[in-house]
Amino acid sequence: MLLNNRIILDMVAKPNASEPNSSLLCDFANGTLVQTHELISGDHQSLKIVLYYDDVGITNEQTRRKHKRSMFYFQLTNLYKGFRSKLKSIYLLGSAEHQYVKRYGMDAILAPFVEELKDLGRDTGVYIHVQGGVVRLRGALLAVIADTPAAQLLGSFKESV
Amino acid sequence: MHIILEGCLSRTLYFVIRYFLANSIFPLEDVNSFILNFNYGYSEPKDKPAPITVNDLSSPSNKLGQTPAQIWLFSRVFALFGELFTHHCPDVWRVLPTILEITGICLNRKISVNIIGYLKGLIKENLQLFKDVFGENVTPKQHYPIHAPSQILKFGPLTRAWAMRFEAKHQQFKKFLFFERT
Repeated sequence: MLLNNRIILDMVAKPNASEPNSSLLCDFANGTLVQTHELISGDHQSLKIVLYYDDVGITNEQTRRKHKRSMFYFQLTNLYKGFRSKLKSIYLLGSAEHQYVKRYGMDAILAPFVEELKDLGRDTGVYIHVQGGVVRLRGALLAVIADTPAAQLLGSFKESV
Repeated sequence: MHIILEGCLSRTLYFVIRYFLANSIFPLEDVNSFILNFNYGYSEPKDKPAPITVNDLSSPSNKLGQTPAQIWLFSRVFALFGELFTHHCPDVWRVLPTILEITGICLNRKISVNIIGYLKGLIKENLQLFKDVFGENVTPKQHYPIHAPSQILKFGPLTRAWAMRFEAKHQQFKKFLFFERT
């Protein structure tokens, strides 16, 4: 659905090429992670996804019961850097009650997303219907961004300061 | 970028101001008056620092009662105010320019590979100075910038990989939930 937008599709198709041999780091693409990534370094039109995770605490005003919800967002870093600061470029991937995240584990909650990433990471990629036709794209998860406690939960580390 | 804005930078400013106030070099009212009357740029008034209260100076959070954006702006303008008093305690003042330089490099949109080595040395110097001058413990948030140079090499400028915009999106959902309830 995202790629139905012609502007976004163009940005995926024509990534901003960084100057060769430039010592200036301007974006993700200049970093060693992208340049040594098995999939992304070979396919410049691959989808580069960034995941963000955070919790939100909600209190029901009438019952005073507190809930904690885990929210997952994603963004395509294929978008040119000027567009990535717009809140409209960040999309909600999913949300779950935090108690279920604790009970069933992050693996179970993110399992559907991981399956889709596996499909995107195959050599054949995924066929996506866009306006005017079908495109075949591959993609990978570039990075996961989170604050300290969220990052510790995601990485199955001990939660501390 | 909270590791700098709510960590190193905020904590350094906190101790520098506390030191100057404790030694009666300038009163708190002068700092607040400077904050209120400074001629901020066109896009800056929305991040104008809030006046610092006495409670902020004894709070364990070291944030001086400011948001990260306010701390960033305050750090840049405070140097203009405090520079007049540096002759009273040059050692204490030395900590501030190092952290300002670290902030300037880390929060830049374009970073040269050649400056990463310099940044590493700067972070080490800042932490050493902080411990020598104030004798305070280094917090975990102050420790994390040690890993910033290697992360800049891996991911590019940290402003492209920070959580600030995602947190803003998260706030949108928080507000949406608030209106749902009412």
